[in-house]
Amino acid sequence: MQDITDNLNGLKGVQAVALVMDEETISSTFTEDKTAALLASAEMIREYFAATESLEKDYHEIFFSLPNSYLVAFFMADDLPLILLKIDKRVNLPLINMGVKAAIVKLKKQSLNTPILSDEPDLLETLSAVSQKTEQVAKTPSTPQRSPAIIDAKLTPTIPTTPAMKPADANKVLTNTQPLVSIVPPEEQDETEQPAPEQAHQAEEREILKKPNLRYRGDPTDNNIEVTAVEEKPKKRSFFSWGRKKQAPANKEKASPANNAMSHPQMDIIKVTSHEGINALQKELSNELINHLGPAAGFVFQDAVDEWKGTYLQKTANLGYLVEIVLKELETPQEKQAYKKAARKILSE
Amino acid sequence: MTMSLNNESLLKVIQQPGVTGACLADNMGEIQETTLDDEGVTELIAFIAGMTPVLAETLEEGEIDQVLLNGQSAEHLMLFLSDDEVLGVSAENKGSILGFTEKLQATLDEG
Repeated sequence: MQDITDNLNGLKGVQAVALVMDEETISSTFTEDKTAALLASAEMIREYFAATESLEKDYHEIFFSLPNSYLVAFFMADDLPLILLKIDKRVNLPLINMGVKAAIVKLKKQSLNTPILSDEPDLLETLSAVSQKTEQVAKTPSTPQRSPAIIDAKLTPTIPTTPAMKPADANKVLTNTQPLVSIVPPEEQDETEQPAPEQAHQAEEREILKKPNLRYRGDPTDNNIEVTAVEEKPKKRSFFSWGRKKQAPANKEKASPANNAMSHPQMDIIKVTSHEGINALQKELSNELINHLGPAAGFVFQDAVDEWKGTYLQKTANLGYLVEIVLKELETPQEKQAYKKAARKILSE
Repeated sequence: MTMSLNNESLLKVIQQPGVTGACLADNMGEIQETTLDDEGVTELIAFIAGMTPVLAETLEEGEIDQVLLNGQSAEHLMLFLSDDEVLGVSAENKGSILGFTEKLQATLDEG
């Protein structure tokens, strides 16, 4: 915890830092004579956040303007320390925010690995117990398991079309004037009261639903479209397709200029590079973020990379998603635009 | 605190671009005027108006003349505190809350 406090205290404009949890100062750079006042104030500040939470407002920062400084309180969760920063009136706020975000990430990791307070149960054990219970609940649900929903065989879509279209042969035809699909939970129907042919037809429909490669084909008739269910056979992979490079579609759209580059996953301005090349690009993106927001931004970038690696394949074409993850951490539209522009330049070189 | 807050102050701020509402309360949290639609926010302002003098006394760092609440998606909420009154202002969550507060303070300080 002390390293987190020291890192925050090292940011320009920060006069003092305290991490407070459950009426106890876990770590602080405030002077000792301030401890009692700080603890009492922290409890009151938690009441502020509790009040906002009761209104379902997501306020996580409160600035208290003092004569020559701000006291800023950052709240993450009830089971994590309240972060109190005393900062100058004129300060690089995005830098402070980045530093706090990096600290929050570390605090969350630490809270998973070690208990915050000695009399708290081991968090890992608690989490594993909870996950085991969750698995048990998932495997043995309290409500009786329902059989798959059935599609009423008497349904027909009523989509008007132009006339002079021919109906095609159908395997199954939905022939009703009801809406296209009606998902009826089985227990809401008393099947024993239905006539036997209808039950048989419903059973047949259930069989159809079990087939994962079922496709529906719409064949227009005079004023309707008859929907048929066609089972597609799985495509056989040609021996010669292994290792064959996919060709780009002929009419592929090119990425539009700067505004949409980061929002479109296909960044065709990026060249395919090796793994080392991807690392180099990441390094440049990280440096760019640090140039914008200070050294603490390095932590934030690393967390974004971790999230990116957990979600996307690590290839150059997916670096746009990494940039999007980083952009979410930036506060103002100006910061987002500046970083977006710089990142585009890096990735296009 | 030398700043005087009154109905005129409220009228000044609600005309500022980005401001979505404001309310005036006394330092006991009693609401005197409000243009805020959200009653919950009005109550929150009243709560903060009542709590903050006590917090300032507890903190022992001098008087607190502004309380600014910043969130991911919630509107900016800014409270300007004087000796007798509290002006609560709600604004769109665009840009830096500190910068916006500075502008509002300048408006309040005028004339």
